[in-house]
Amino acid sequence: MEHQHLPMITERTPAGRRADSGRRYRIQQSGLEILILFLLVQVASIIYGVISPDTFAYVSPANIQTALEAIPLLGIPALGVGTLMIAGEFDLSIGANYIFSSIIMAQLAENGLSVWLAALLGLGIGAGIGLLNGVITLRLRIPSFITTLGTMGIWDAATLFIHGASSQPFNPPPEFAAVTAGLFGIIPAEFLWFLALSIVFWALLHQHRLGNHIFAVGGNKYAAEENGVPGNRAKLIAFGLTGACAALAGILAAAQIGNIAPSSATDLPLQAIAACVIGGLTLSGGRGTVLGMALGAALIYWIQDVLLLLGAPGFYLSAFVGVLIIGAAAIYEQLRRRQS
Amino acid sequence: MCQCRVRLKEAWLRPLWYPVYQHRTMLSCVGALLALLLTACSTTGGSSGSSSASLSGGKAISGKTILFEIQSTPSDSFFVPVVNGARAAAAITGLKLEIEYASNDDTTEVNQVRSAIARRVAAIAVTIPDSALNQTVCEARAQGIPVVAFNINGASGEGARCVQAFIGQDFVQSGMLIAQRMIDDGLIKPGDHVFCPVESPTQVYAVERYAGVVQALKAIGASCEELGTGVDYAPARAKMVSYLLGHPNTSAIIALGHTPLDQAPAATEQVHRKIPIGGFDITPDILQAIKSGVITATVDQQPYQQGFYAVMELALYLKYGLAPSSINTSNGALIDKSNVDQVLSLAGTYR
Repeated sequence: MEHQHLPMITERTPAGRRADSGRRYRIQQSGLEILILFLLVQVASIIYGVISPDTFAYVSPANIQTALEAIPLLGIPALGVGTLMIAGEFDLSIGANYIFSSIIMAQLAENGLSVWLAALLGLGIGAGIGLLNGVITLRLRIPSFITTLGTMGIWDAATLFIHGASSQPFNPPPEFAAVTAGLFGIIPAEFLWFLALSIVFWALLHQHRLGNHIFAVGGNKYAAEENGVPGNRAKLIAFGLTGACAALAGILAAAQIGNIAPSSATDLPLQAIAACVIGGLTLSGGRGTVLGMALGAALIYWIQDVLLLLGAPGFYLSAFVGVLIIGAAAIYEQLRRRQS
Repeated sequence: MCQCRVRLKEAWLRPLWYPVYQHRTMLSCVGALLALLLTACSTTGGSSGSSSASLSGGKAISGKTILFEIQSTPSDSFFVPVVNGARAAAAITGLKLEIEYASNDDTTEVNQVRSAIARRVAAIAVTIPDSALNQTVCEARAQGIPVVAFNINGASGEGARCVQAFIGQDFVQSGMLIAQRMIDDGLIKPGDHVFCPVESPTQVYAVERYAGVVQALKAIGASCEELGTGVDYAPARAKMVSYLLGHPNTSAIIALGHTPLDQAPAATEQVHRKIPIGGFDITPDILQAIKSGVITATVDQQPYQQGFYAVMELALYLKYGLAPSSINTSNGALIDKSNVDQVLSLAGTYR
């Protein structure tokens, strides 16, 4: 693994800074470790599922379809949260954003606005909430943890003000339902969205200059800016993407369930951060892969799925899942240290 | 081929517009800003109690304040009819309601109740999730403030003696009620394995409902296993599907809370199995599933009664000195195909 450290800070001309802003600051990671862990779980599960389909229904269409529906609802927010973590920031308001954006979208659609336009507005509101988090954090120079803890409360309250505490039904027209919650064979539309977004985020973070800036500013903002990287702009875009991802997940969940409960998604921020940490991202920023974010979210779901399929006692399930999450993160950390 | 999996639902359920917050000024600013952006969404408010008293005689209580303390969050839709019932009783008696939410935090709830005692409220109606409020409710009584618990009463020891009455579901009896109904209908037989999903297995309501269900099942030699689902519908459904696939011997579902009961029909459909379903509480989807016969029955807590009688009993105590009495608001309150139509039109507001 190649580690490319930031150059020493020296006085530079504007032209020099512009040239440096194009340097590649990504600490090279392949996400191979999490891929190995993921594949081990998959191969073992598939083999046992094929050998003993009656006692372990892992490869049954119902189990596969349920998994492919459930994973994107954590995976899509994790893509945004992971990008923001690489930029060195956090967003604890994604759960409130997820609910607020989707409820507004559903209300507008139920009140007669085109559901497509309503969904676009929902996404716009989500991105706007993310950008607002960024502006407050960067302008007031306060930790994003504090900013988004505050905005989480504000958007929770805004949901109650606009809608109240009752559930909001969402009955999209068939064409919208097909695109957001339809089935393509046994592949749910939600999973295709997740797949497409993962590719977009991979291209953005690992192939585009913006991704380079996000890694640089997350690794060392001061050094990055000294070298001409527009740090605030990169962070602001990461905040906006995080908000848009939360809103998209909320819209997909609303289409899948046909209902939005204002009291839900409270665990989403911590679950998304957990998925990213399992996927190899560091809490200090500057490191991570899109593959890690996606597989981290998938692993959280699959650990629970495998345990339930094996007949683990449901009452203590959270303890099993907790232990396995810590175990997975510890194994990953050991692998990474050995490789460094 | 693309198949639509979203179920069509009736559009009769309207949003409820009512105030569920305390810091109205701040929220008004946020709301005004949002209203500019989202003109398609309307906002309305409501009054927090009324001064039109219709009780005569006794002491004058009109305008006196009752603390209505809820341990949950303002976004918990279960408490919408509870609050509606409390408002109705306040309007009849002329009492002023002060509604506070503790967001599931014992310390917050204790502080809010203590603050109300310091402000010398006339009476306290409170949800008591556990024994953390023992001392606080006794402090209120020592100050001469009457205390009635509603929805849940986890007070113990001296604290239990300080609570004058409990208006809420008898969880154990309700657990027995739904399990016995399914046994009587021949849906659960000796030796059967019953799946009992619930949002939070450690909460008092879950523990006691489970105890009631187990008591009825044990009597015929059937068993029941719990699974924590959380309150989010999509993950709850996914967990239930995994469980059903991992436990093909499951012969019935008794969901101990509204989240798993709401999602149980979809989960059984996803695993292509027809499993008898029963449970607790109501949502529009649960009522539709009862109407269509997918869910056998649900035990209704009758939350409107919980708010209404909690305030009404305190008013009668303040006015006439009538001692508050405990009420089991789920006394045989099963909703099944025979009475679901009446409930459908009132769900979310009065039921």
